[in-house]
Amino acid sequence: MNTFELHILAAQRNLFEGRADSLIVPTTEGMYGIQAKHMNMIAGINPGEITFRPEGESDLHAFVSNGMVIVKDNVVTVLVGAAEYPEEIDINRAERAAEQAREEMVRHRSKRVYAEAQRQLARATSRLKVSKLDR
Amino acid sequence: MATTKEIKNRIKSVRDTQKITNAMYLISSTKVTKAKRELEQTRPYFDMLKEQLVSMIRLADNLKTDYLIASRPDETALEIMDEEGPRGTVGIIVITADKGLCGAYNQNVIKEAGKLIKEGEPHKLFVIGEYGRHYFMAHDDSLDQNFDYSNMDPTMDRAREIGDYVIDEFDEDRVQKLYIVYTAFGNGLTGGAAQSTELLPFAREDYVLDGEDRKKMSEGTEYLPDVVTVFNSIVPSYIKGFIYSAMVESFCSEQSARMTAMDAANDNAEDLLTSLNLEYNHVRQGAITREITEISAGSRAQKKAKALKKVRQK
Repeated sequence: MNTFELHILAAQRNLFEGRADSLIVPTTEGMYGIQAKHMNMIAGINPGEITFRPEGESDLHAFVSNGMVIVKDNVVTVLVGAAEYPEEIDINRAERAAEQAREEMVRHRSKRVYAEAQRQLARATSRLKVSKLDR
Repeated sequence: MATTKEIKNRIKSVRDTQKITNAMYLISSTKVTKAKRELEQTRPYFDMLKEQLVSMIRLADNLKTDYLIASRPDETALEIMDEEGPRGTVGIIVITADKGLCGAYNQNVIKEAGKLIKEGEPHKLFVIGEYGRHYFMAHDDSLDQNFDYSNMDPTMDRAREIGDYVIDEFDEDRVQKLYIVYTAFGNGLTGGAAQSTELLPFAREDYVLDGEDRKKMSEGTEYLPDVVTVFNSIVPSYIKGFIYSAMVESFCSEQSARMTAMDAANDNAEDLLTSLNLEYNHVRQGAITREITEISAGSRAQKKAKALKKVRQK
């Protein structure tokens, strides 16, 4: 099977580096699958679940926050603010964050607080979703 | 001349102070190591981000967003615009320390920020760190009071909050330009130099490429959904990354300035101790000599008196 080079870079760590068979990323336009020899492309990423299959292994899942995916000459780079494997996700913290965000959103303080709460909620809920997946 | 007891007390107090400065020195040096290590971990991500941003600005001629202007007005143009009216509020992020005891670190940053503030021009200050807050609260009325962050422990989360705050100010058109004043760490030997950088908007003229390179780079990349959306979505990440690295660099500079200051304080304390010890020994020896003289003079006097008595008895 054809493989491609995959880098998953988060702000504070490198989640994955190596060759992979396939990759599914939550782009701003919806879930998007990438395989070897994909055309050159750049797309934005929304918080959500990323699935990739390292060469000769089974699928791995992880949570990613906002960022972008870059495909260039069979090298795929995922640049995101944060990336975590399911077992690394702090479920309590995510639940608290979601709760806080919901509270914030009904209080209508300012546009900025609302937007920030919205983003926080999106991150928290996708973290919770991913944490329930097996690696 | 001071008594031995006074000098002893003085020596003790200098020793105690030296213990404190020495501890501060050690704490600063471990903090620098930690902050630097964390910054290293984020480097690959931000280098890549910057690269993408630059190539997007270069390639997409039709890129039109609030974050990008075609060219920066030159100085002469500025004057003309000034006559027509103010050219918008300048937002300035200033990174200072929370406390002093670090040489001229804070003063340098404040001076650099002062260069950006022009007379009669509207500006808004976002100050990180207590020292700067206190200074600008007393000297400048355009400090944003709601913006209250410290640079005690620079983390990505903190930088994200700050980034969200200032980008929102820009998006809502409350500031039309955004600068950041921080202290670059450099190679860590010469100590940091305060400097300012323009964060927003980006000026296309800074990134112009010549024909050949352009052709090579522009070969078929597809943007999903389109280049403007992608560009706008990565600008905030880039700004936050820049703020984070500026915070870490400032933090490292602060700590290394403090290390230098504390090292000098240690040396001074050492010198002071040497001279105090010398003085103490002088005084002590003086006292001993005086006592011996008194005793021997006394005994001699007694001897003389005895001898005189004997003579008289005869």
